[in-house]
Amino acid sequence: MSADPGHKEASLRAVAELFDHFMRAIYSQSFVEGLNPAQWGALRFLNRANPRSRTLTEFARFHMVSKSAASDTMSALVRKQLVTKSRDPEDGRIMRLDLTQRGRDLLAIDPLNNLVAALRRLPQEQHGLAADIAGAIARNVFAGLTEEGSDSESEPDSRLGRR
Amino acid sequence: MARILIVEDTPDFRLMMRDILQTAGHEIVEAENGNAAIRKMESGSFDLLVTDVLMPESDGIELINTVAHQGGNLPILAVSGGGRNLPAAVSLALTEAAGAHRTLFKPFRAAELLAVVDELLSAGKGKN
Repeated sequence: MSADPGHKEASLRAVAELFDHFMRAIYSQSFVEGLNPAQWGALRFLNRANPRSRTLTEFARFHMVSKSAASDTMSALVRKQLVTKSRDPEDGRIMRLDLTQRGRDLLAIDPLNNLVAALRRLPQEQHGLAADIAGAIARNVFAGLTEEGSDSESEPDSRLGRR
Repeated sequence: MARILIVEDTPDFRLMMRDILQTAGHEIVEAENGNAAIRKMESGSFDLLVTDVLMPESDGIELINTVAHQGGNLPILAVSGGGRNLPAAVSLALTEAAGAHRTLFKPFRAAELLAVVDELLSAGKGKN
């Protein structure tokens, strides 16, 4: 990049525009198979989460979205028969979410695979750099976007690590 | 029995994880930051690295990155508080992009820690 501050700023702006362009492309590619990006995110979450974490509350917390938004997403997936809801056998108050076989099969054509493929095409020695840069940008973006807030739900919790 | 390095800047939490894993029969070595962890790894081999992500003296992500790219194949478990401004989804992607094999989010139960430790040790990536 140029040493001239004005030119440097313009270059940074161009980098930001590049991110904007490819993020829009990735986003638009996520409207496939009758799903939207949030629904694909939910399928990925359920595919990875351990059984105890496969609840609406944990999904909302994981993605830092409202319970109402989480509920809309999961309800749509249940209607599309990609997810099932059932009572936890150990605690009947908890509704567990699970992928159906159809939901698991659909993840084979996850649109995120396109971005993974683009990253894979980078020279091997640039993979770590891509991770570092993406991580740093993510942290900066979220530091600017997300407000600190308190969780109004108070749940009894005897787990380790509560501050 | 495995030899596990725990890296955690909060003494109480480090002690809790140590007690849980020692009770399960593992040998535990402790470090309170990434730099101390690197020194421990230089002087001994381990079967698993358990590291906090947010530490004041040296970033856990940096430690994970360093260890993952040493080429040794040491399984790495990241322990994340999530970060106040960061969705857990993003924290997870950060730790895994750096090279962690699994990430456990606080708060967690002792049984969850033991289960994920067993899983990583069973994957049998060998001493490093």
